[in-house]
Amino acid sequence: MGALGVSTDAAVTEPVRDALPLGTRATMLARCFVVQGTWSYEQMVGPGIAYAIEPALRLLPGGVGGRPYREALARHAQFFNCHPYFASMAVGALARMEIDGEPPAAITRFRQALCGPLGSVGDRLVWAAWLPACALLGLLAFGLGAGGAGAVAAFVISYNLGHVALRAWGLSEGWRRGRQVAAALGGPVLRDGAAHIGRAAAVLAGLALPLVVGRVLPGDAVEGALVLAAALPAGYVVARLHGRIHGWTAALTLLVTLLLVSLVVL
Amino acid sequence: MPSPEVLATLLAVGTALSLDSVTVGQGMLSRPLVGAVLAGWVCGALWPATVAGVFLEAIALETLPVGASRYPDWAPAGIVAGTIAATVTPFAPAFVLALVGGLVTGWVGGQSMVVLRHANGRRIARARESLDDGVPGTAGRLLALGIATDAVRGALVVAAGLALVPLSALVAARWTTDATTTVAFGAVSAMMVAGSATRQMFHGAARARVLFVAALAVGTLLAWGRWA
Repeated sequence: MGALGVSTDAAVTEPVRDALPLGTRATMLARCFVVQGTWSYEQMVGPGIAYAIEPALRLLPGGVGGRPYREALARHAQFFNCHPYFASMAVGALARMEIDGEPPAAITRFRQALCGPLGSVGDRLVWAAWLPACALLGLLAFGLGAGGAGAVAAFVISYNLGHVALRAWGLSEGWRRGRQVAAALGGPVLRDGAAHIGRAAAVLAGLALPLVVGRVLPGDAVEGALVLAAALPAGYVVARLHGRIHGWTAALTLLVTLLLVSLVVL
Repeated sequence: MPSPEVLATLLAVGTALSLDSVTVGQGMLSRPLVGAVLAGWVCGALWPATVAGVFLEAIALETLPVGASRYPDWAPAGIVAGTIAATVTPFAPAFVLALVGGLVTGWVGGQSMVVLRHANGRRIARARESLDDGVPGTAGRLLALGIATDAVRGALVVAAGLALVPLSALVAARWTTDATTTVAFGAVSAMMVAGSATRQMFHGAARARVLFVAALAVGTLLAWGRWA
């Protein structure tokens, strides 16, 4: 029996079941950074998952080109969709199941079941919370007087601390837990993290927006206040129209209107 | 107009940042703030490019790069906005034109991503038999081709966007709206989108609205202190 309590193939050595060789793990992690290299509407990250998991499959009986290797590689080249950062968790868990010799049908079912949770947790935690919070940190740094390099550093460094850590942790947790990986998704950070980060982002936004305006319109309090007084209600309207209009298209429409007025009317 | 050497550097940087949008890394080096600041540094005028990057980033706050959704490609947008802001004078019209140029380039980049994704789909369909047989190296080759195609796509979008720089210089020379109104209008347009994005962040985060209002009051007081 393997570490996860399922029957295993005797040809896979015990040390491999407990810990992936460091080189294999590092290669898998590196490959996770290009998991969307051939993203398509039909297969999404499927081929990317196959590419990322392939180093672990070399450990299967028969090695590269062996029947277990080829069958597993074919299995993982099918449709798969998840948040790109959480792909590493899927790669770790699926690699564990393959190495543990779980039945192909069970692996395929598990693979299909992973898509939803890994997508929704990632979208909520990363795209909707962590990304805007770190971007707002960059804007706040600018508003407080940092130059371009300082603002970029505040944004990119803070963001990637979370990003890289999440990918590395995901691979590790996926490998450690195998088919039990869903339990990791229920942990407090992933469960409540988005709400905490959302509150932090709200504070950062409240501080950053007026300070950015103040930095670009220095020496004119009335104008700065007017900009905020006009922008926030307009933002409320755009937010209410969400789904019918994108904010960036609304901004572009306003800016092009100013452009035309500046060139044609006056 | 930037020199050919500067344009070549901008093209190379823009292409590299474009890859980060989806295919390689996604470390948010593709965000407009990063692209604009790098463009300003390459062009030798960091401040105006940074301002353009900050406001374009405020607009980009609304965009979530979720899977199959369609969104602007912010990497070329940042490069083009930063280049316009850094090389066109005077600052006020250059600021607004940088935002316009960035948004238009971003839209073109977003459309090109859709084309790329369909091309990837066709390439995968052609390799289906090989993938289904588990032929070693097939997935790696598909990824390499996808990344190379994305690099070409990014380069083309950046090049097309940089063509807006001389056009922006012509428009700026004929600009009639006064500088203060122009900058204020650009700021309102960007902050409107940032405000909208902020409201969307409140979903699922209890007390976020209250925290935002309190922080907004503090931020306004701090800005007011600077103005006073």
